[in-house]
Amino acid sequence: VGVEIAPNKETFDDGLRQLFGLRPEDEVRTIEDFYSRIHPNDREDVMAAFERTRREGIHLDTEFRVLRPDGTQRWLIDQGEVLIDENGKPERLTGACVDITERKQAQDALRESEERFRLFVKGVRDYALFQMNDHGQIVSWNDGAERMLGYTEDEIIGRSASVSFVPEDVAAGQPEREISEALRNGRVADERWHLKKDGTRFWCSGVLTRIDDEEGKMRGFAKVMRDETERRQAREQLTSSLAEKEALLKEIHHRVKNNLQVITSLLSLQSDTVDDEHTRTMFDEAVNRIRTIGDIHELLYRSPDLARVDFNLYLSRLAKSLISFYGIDRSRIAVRVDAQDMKLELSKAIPCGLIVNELITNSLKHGFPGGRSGEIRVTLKCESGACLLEVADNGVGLPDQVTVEDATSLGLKLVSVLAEQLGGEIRFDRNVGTRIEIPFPASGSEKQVEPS
Amino acid sequence: MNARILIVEDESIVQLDLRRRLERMGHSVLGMASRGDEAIAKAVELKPDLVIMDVRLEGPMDGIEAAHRIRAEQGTPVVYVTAYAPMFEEAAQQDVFGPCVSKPFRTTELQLAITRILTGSASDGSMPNESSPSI
Repeated sequence: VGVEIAPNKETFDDGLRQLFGLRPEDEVRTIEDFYSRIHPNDREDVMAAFERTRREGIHLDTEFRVLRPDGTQRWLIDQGEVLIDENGKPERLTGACVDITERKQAQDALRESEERFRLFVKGVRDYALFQMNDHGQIVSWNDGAERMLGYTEDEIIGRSASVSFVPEDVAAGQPEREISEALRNGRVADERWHLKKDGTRFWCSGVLTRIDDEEGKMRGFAKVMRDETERRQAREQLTSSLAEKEALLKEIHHRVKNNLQVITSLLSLQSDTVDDEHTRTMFDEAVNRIRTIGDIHELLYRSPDLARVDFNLYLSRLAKSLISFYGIDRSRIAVRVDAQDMKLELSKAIPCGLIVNELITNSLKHGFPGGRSGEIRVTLKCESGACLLEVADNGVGLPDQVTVEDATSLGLKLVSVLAEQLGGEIRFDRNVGTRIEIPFPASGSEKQVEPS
Repeated sequence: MNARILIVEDESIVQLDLRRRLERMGHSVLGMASRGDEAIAKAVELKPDLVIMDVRLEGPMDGIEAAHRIRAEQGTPVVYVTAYAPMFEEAAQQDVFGPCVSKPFRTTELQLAITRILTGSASDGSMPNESSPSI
């Protein structure tokens, strides 16, 4: 499309008429007609460009908006030349217009988006965001970086990012190491002390990312930093208060065990004054019950969370301890324990431990008379909200008149009240030997022992 | 095997109980101490065959340090009797010697530990526990 403008003789071809959105009845005859259809804001520029081209003979290159009769606007670019007559004077101007509205809109959108992004990055205050070129020199710097590191944009642009590293890290080549790792892996993240302009140090987490263009060519690096000094302090406080709590718990378990020793010693001293064998046995059994509790405290303070006992380990220790106490040859009576992966908290562990203590003691004392051999099995299982504690032997079995409900021995009475304390019940099976099952509700914390 | 023993324990009731039990086993108790410095002085004075040592004691010195010094001074073997197993375990990792009996203890456990250390079968410093063969 073209326009030819000569003094008093302007012509619009059909293409140009189309660009200007002209209807058949719209006449454009003079240059003034032409100018009148240009957006008022652009009109003077266009007139000046035309005038300069006409006067100086230079190439015409101007962009402007036209106002179409239907009220819409279009962006046009007009490029043209001055034609010189045989006397060397400008004779007329010839040019071509192209509609660049879409390109203009795309450029505007891009500029707007870039501006928005720039303001967004610039305005982030909680993170230091900056870019480096491929030589490690800083090329952009946001408000957060200024706030965190103390350098203004003018001060820092062109300098190496290593100014923010503490001297010992610089000496150790950390800035270079970071860059080479980002080059190799695309990114590198770490936490370290950094240095502000005024020389103060702060704890900082940072990510350095390698920036590649669409062709995969390395264009530089982007760094994001966050001041974690307060968070680090809070974490240290938390760790130290946890350590204090842990130390306190251990101290309590220690004191409990110490006091249990004093009680045990008192009973032991008292039993020294007793000659009657039956009475001495009663003292021994009382001491065994105290030990049962002491062992739970010992395993509790050896446990990683100081709250739950590895019950398989506990039962094994209890069984071996009783076998040893009663001087039983292990090839005669074997005690097999199965509480794999069971962890019990104190409130369940103590009643369970005392119950097992009573039942193993009973079996060892009465289940295998006259040198009989056999086996005692102790199992604890917890599944979907229900636990089952079971102690069974293949010995001679309890006499028929012995029942839990009507127990005359202290041992069975204890089993009965402890089962009740667990919220459970007691089931007796006398078919083979003695088998006592105590189902009780789980507390939900009988979780598995973490693999060590 | 009867040994001449020094008891180091800051709880008087436990001291008394230990003395009775040890004597019942046939050992003779030469003396008792409740502080670390007192233990060292008595060990030098009495030259016991064995020291029964609590870990937590009265005063600034704990039983591990007292045992260390006694052993360095005259090579007397030590059996620890303590309710404070974790502290002992940590110290044990730092090359502390001798078996440990956990409180509340049984006479059989105490006797086992004593026999082991006096016959040299615990020279590896391992701790006896209920898994040891009963005696």
